Amino acid sequence: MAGQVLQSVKSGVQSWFAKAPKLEINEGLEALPSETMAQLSQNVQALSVPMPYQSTIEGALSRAFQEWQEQPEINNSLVILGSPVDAIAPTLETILKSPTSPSQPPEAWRQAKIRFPLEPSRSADPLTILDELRKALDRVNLEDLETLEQEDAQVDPEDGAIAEAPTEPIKSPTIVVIPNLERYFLRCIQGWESVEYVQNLVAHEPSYFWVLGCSHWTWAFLDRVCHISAYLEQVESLPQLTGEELEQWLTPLMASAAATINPSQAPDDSPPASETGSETDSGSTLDFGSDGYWNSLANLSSGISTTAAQLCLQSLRMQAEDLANNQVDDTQEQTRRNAHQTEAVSDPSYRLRLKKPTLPSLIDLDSMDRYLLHALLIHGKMMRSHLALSLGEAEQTIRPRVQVLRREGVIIQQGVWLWVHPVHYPKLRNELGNNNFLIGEA
Amino acid sequence: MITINQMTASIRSYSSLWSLQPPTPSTAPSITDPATVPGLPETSEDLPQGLFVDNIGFASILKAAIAILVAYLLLWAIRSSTSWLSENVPRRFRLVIKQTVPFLRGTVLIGTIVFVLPLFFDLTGPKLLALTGTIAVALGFAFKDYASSIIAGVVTLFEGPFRMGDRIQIGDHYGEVVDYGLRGLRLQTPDDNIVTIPHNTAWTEALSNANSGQLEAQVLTTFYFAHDVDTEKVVQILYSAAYSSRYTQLKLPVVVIVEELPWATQFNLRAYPMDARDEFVYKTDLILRTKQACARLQLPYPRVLQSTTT
Repeated sequence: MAGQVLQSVKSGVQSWFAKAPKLEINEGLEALPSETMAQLSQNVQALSVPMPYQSTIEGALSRAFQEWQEQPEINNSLVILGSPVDAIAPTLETILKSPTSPSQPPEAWRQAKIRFPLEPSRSADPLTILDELRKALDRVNLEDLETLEQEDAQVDPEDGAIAEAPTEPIKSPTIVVIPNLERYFLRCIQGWESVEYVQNLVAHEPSYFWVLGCSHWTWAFLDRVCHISAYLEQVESLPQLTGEELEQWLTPLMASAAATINPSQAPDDSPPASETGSETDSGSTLDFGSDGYWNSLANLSSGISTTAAQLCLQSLRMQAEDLANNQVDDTQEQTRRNAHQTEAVSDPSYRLRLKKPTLPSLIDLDSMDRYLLHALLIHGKMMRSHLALSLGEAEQTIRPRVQVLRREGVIIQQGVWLWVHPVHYPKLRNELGNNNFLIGEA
Repeated sequence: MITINQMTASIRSYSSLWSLQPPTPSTAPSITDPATVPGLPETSEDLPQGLFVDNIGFASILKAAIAILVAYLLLWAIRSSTSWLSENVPRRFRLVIKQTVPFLRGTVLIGTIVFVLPLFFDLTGPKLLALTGTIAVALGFAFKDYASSIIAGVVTLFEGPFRMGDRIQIGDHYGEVVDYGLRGLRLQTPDDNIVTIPHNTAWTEALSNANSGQLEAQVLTTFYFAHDVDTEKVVQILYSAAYSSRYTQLKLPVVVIVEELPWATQFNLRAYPMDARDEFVYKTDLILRTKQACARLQLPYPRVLQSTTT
């Protein structure tokens, strides 16, 4: 009896400090098949940029660009900061490359030439990052000069006014975009020389307007080691999304989820009727349209879009009653599970339900795990060899921990690239903060 | 086996010592003169009878035994639970939990004494004074060093030159304070030995505290290079080594101090690891990183000149 009490107290204290209650599957509800989840995860990447992100970036860019045109020597850069799991680079690319809406007057920055001179992926050899960066940025300058020369050559020589114009031509404004600054440094000796090069270039090259994307964690680190905020003054953080904004952003995902489960129903932008049905939910499930669900999602994800999307996917459940209807007897159970997707196609009555979102539990992390995850959060996507170099360990030393973290779903591996799963980010942030690590604001 | 009567006789003899009159008669009133101090028993012979409670029976002894057993279990539970908890919570809370141990243990000890003593002694008014005096004499003769350590321990607890979890040096011993007992403290050395140091030693010896209740402790790493080395480059490498080490507490400053010696240029790198416990692996990491960079950049180390033999 006393042993049981002690055990329960022990487990209670453990869960209080380190873990959250595990995600339990409700009676009558079943998790989506893994294939469907994989497909939906891909759909998340295809979602449009959340409106608050777009308005924040466009607004900040308009202000900063205008200031630069008025005073080119003072403010010629804008840094967009987000969480380490935010997809800042695709967001910037989408916004900066998107065509101007014909119904609205074009903003000044849309008239500028927009350059993305750098490769999106990290260089294989970290010590060559600086050379590659220098070459790429020099190429921008060279291309600009060539363009100017061509424009000069096209000028009619008989036009006296132009022919007698000063030899220094007026450049059309150019925006140079480095959408993911974290890819151009590595935490090792001489590993952030490229960032120092960029910050010096920005300070001494007022003829370009620079837009940089970076995570709060990278920014905090670089600010400590090379005082980057002294050179790049104008900083704009991506806003935290509210429940209402998340609902608006994720509605197409819900619709695509419903369409995936019930392909016979024509997909549209609105969620299926079964999800918005008027029947009252019981237990920990919530209606699709419930404000409580979306507010809860916003709180748990700290308003981070990628985390919220993954949490939302993990809270999706299929109505188990419908599944039960498909079961004729026990012998058919295994067959049904094997052909889950096929049955979903054949049964139009599947209903999607949203379980109350919860953050997944985090495994007990040892000190090496924490250093490893901190390195991943500072650098974003990185290779295992780079990770080992950054940690000052041999690759075979970190390999077992990478395997464990990957198996537990804390980190994702795609090809040679490793990164932290967005759904674990809120807990990891607390964990690393409580363990005295330097963490970002968001 | 000591009986109640033997205990009474023992205390009686000490009480007699306490109430000894000076050999020369004096006209001045004495503090030990029963006639001048109201409330004191008239003769020393009355003291022991009044000091003990009237009905010391089996029930009292059983209560005392249970109280001592409970206290022992509580002390064990405090030690085990705080030790387990402090190593399983995030670093930020580790020292806070460890620092509560002496106070919790002190509370249990005081509570037990306060509960057990009235079961056997009538601790009211001057009798308490008499008992205190008796104990003082007993300790003075028999347990002088033990009492000195206990008192030093209590004073140290409130003065706070160190706390549980701190990394301190007393005499030749350096390590983390892992236990704070009644008589002494225990240090866990870098060699994983446990050194017990009496509190009175800690009271009289010079004490150096590396982290003073904080998680971080400064680590000094010294490097030597040849006089003709590019000092600017070396300083840059040392800063980079500190900032790139995974152990470094980036919230705290990193400093490089250069000193010129007859045989080399000395570089002192002062930085803080996130956890003082990592000081030695941190130092190793800094040296490894620096040596790798120096080898890559071919920076010259000092050379020992060998005398040529003829």
